[in-house]
Amino acid sequence: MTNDKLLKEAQNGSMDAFASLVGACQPRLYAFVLKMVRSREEAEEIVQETFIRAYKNLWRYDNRASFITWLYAIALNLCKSALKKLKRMPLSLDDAMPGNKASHEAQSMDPSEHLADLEYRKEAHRLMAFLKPDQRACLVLKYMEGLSYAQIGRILRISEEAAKMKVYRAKKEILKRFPGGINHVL
Amino acid sequence: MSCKAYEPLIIRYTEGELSLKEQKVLEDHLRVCKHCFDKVQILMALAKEAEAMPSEQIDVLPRVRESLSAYDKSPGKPISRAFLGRSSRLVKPAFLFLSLAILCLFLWPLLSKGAASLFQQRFGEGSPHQTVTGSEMLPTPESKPAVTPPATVQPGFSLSFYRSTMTYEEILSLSREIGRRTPPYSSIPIDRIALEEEPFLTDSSINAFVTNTQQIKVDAETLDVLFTELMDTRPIPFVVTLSGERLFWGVFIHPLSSIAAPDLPLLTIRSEGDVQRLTLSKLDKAGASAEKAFLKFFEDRYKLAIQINSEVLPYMEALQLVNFNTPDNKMVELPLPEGWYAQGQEYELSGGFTWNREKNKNIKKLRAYTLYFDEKLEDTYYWGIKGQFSGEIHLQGFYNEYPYPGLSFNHAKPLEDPVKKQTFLGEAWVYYLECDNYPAAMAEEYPDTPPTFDMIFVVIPIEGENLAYALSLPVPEGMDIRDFYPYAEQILMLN
Repeated sequence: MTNDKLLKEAQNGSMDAFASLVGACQPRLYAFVLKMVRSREEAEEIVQETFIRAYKNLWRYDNRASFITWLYAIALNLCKSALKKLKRMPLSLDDAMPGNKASHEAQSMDPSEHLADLEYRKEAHRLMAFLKPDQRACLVLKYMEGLSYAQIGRILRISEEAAKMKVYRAKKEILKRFPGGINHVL
Repeated sequence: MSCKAYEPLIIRYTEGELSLKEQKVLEDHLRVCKHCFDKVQILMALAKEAEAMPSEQIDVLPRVRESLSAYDKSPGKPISRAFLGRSSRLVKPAFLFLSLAILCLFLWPLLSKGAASLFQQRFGEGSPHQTVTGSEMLPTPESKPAVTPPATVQPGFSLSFYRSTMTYEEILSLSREIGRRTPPYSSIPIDRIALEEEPFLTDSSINAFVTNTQQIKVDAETLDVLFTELMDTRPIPFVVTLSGERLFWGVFIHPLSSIAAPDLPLLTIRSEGDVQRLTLSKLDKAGASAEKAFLKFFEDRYKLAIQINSEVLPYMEALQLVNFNTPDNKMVELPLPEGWYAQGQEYELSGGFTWNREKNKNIKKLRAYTLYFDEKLEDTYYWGIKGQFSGEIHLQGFYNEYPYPGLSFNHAKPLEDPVKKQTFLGEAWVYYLECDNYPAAMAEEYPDTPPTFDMIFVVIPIEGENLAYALSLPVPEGMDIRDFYPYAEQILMLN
């Protein structure tokens, strides 16, 4: 059954249809939230709450954006609240560490190159913690979800240009904090 | 060229945005600069890091099911409703709260004294205007039962009119025409009085009205006529009858609106004991000072809220509001467009104000915000002064279960039919308004201010209360109102 049909049935009160949507969306949603809050427990709570809120407000969903995009918007608000509540920008490195299975990651055939890549990934992971939530969200939505800036803008309720600017500023922030000199780089 | 200067190129390089020429310049540099090479690598790694999926997966479905099983199936969408009012140009948020009080306190006596059946007809459950839209099957905690007539807070009205040599039918025809456009008041002759049409208004009585205040007894039938005519969105003529006789006729503009109309009498309706009284008073020349006096009159008596501190939350980048349309009155944050600022104002409810809904009764303070498009904007006036642009969001009174055709804006007319939207605060009506602040009056008091302006006005009724969130975004003179819609869309998270 297509997502559209599932959505329609869910909007008519079918929990089974909604369950199918949860099953289809939760891996990506979890990945997104985990990158935002960088804590497995927190991420799981937020994903759960996102689906609960989505269900309760399903009648508001109008098909203009994809369902997962709508979920991202809900989750993003929850992530921001959680981060604000915790009053921290988590620096934990225990989640989503480089080296975990990256489904979209191109693998290098050169072992030394792969090692270097891993070092860069570790450093990038560390530096991501310094980004503002919106900046991080933009990056994740752009690269993990492959969303356009216009789509990202809709989720963050900002303009396309502002979304693009957030990615630019995120990268600028990373460069500002990047000391350079990865050991494995020749 | 220093390494720092290459950073923009590096960022754009990782976005694939460089021209061939720029790319060659950068790549030449990367060959000789390890530091910049590292920067490219770290940004590439950043993209991969953002892209990577976590190795572990979760299954929240059982807990989601469990949580949702607690909800009963009940009607889903909030009941659509309209509202009353718009933000006035000269007044600050305090007045916007005050407006509700005025509305509430004026109508209460009327409704409680002999107009109860009319009230039921207008606002009761059986009102033909009541509509329920959307899904009624989904379990939504925001679902509310059918709205019952408010028990403690009632809207009220005052009435303005002017006399003309035009016939009633002509006025009626004209009013339909001008309903969609701001009427040039001066185009309706008011310099002559058709005494034959108004047997109760003699020269002496008019003078009495002009110089003093005169009260007229009005019975329930008269009120019915008034109500019938009031419940329309456009400036309309009305006829006041007294004991079956035609008393006079005029044109209703808006509750509270004639205060800015020079040389037009102001008619208010009040209850004193068992008698409903129409009070007619003369306004002074430009209307502006009359407005001040008018406001003062009400400020002294009725307040929904008092502003307790205008500097509580200066220049925030997100608005914090209690969402009264959630079961537990959750605090929500509404982001401002980038580069915007908000100055928060906290309000304390006055003793005379009572919430209708039980869940809201512990709310003692409210917030309103002035929105600034420019950090340097000093004043809270917002419609193009100094070439700036800003707005406000506040709570405002509205007529409960009052459909769109009954919307009445003070000094404003819808440019087109409103659009119903969903926001994070609830169901909203979005209006494009053309606002007229009475050019002559405004030109005198505010010579540098454009006499008219357009405004995006979004109203989100609070279910069960006679209040609504109202977002006003005036559009600077000469600008296209549609260009400003995205700001409202972003602030209220319109879908």
